[in-house]
Amino acid sequence: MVVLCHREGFKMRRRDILFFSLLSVSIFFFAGCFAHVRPVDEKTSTHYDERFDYVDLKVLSERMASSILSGPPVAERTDRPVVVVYGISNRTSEHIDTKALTDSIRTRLVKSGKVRFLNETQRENIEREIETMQGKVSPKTQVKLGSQVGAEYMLTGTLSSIEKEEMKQVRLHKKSLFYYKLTMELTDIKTALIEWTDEQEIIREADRPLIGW
Amino acid sequence: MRRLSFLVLLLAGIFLLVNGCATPGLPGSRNLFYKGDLEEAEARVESVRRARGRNRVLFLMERGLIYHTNDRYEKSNRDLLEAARQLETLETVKVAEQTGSFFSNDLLLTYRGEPFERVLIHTYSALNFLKLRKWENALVECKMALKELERSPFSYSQPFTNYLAGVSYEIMDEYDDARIEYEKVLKARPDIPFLKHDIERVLAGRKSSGRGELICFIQIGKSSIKVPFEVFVPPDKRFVLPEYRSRNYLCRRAVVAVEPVCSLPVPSCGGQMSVSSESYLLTDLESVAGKVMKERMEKEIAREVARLAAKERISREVERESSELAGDITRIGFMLLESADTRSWQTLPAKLEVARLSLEPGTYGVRIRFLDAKSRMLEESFFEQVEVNPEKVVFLICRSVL
Repeated sequence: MVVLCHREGFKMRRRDILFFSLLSVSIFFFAGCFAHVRPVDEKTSTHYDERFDYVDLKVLSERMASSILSGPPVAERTDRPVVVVYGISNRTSEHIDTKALTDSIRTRLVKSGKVRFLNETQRENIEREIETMQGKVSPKTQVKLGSQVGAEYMLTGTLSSIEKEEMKQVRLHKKSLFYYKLTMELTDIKTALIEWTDEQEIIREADRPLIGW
Repeated sequence: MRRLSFLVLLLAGIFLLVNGCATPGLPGSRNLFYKGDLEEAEARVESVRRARGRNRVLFLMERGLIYHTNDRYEKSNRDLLEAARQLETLETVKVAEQTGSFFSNDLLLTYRGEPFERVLIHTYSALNFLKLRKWENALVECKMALKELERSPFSYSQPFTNYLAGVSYEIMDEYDDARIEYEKVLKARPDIPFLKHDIERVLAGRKSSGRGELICFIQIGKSSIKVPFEVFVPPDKRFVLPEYRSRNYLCRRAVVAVEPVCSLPVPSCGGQMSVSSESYLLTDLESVAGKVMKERMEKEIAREVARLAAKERISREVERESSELAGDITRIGFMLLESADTRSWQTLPAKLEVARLSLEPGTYGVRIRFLDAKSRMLEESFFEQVEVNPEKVVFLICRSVL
């Protein structure tokens, strides 16, 4: 084999260039093929796509909880008002676990020590437990029917979204815009008045390539 | 000679790759499905551990529908939602795949479903959620189906999806959106008598009538399937395109008969009476499939012509560099690779219909009778103890494959 360099007299055969190119490309592809897992700091904001994700859940629950605590009636009360959660209705076009959102808001409010919540989802279990106790447990530990606390306020909300895509044209990327709005209200059960309401927005733009490997 | 060997090996490799892409278990499951043996069809398709990557979406759609027909709504949704997720990642055009398929055939491409099939993934998922009484999730799927419908580059409508969306919006008290969808259906199917009542009802908003609703979603027949048809271009060129061909089925329509379940004579049964209703055609999937293929034909032919030209160019290059024999072998190799992409969602029905009845609250037995062209009964689905409550909707879903 004649070995010559172009600048210093070395010259490779075309076959060898092709071989090494294919080898490099293969190494490049296979290097990306091994799965790996790493822990992610919960404070990190990582969005893999433009849809609703865990970062949005945290941001919205933080903002809403903060708004409830800083406004009337909660901020004006010296005692802890009792609230029941009736959920957030999902009016977006994605499957979003809105219960996770209300649970997160409720946890923040309870931890603040300024609000109390009724456990609405466990009502049936609580009633069953109290019925079981009647005549079967010691009077000291027995819970009588009618001992529960009534709610003063109802917490409800709506999560809606608007999605827009770039108009169709000759392009290499596709842009889309996602707008989410969470509206929540605290309603006085006695008077049916909305004593507190707030809305929080998230807007995100995504840019996807239309051509890939 | 080395170049020739390399090219022959490459062509052979592509040939093996392409012909090895059938998903095991699917053809057998489809046959069992259409024989009416749903349990066996389900067992056969469940035994497939993992469908190959290129046909994974198709496998999930087929299995999802087999589960749905067998009333396994949770399992059906698991597959259909996974298919929808996979399709989102397929929006990016893969250069390597496209290049490979350009020099061989479209079977190398990952199956993305026809536009109407992609709408039906969400439509069936919405039906599953309605049966599971998850109204919000059903509405989310309807919205996704409508979005998919809007995105389609072809001019066809799927009134069944619009009607399902109207029903889902109405359950969630979104009366304006419900009215819009019902009006779209009325425009496409002005012959359906209950549509005007539906529109009047949502215009009135939430008003207590004291009655309940029974909605039967009925699926009839077998969808068209794709078959190859060859086009010969003299003297020695050939390309193969897919076309839809209808399959034979006997059922032409369905009738819903509702009888009160009551031990007392009828006048004492709280005013419940026997009623019956025809089911009305909303979407004719055979017609939709034919329209889509027709609109796509020009683009398909242009693509095939470009493909033929590129292959001929390569063959001539091989002929020039090696020999006439080498060129002919290359041409034969390319010709053998010519194959139409006949993949399609074959467990779909031919027709999607609906029957809607307003009933006094009570318990009913519901018979859905499937009739042939001469109104002879082919088969019957019987739902006993159907509870109809005031201001509530009850859904029944059934299918005839005969």
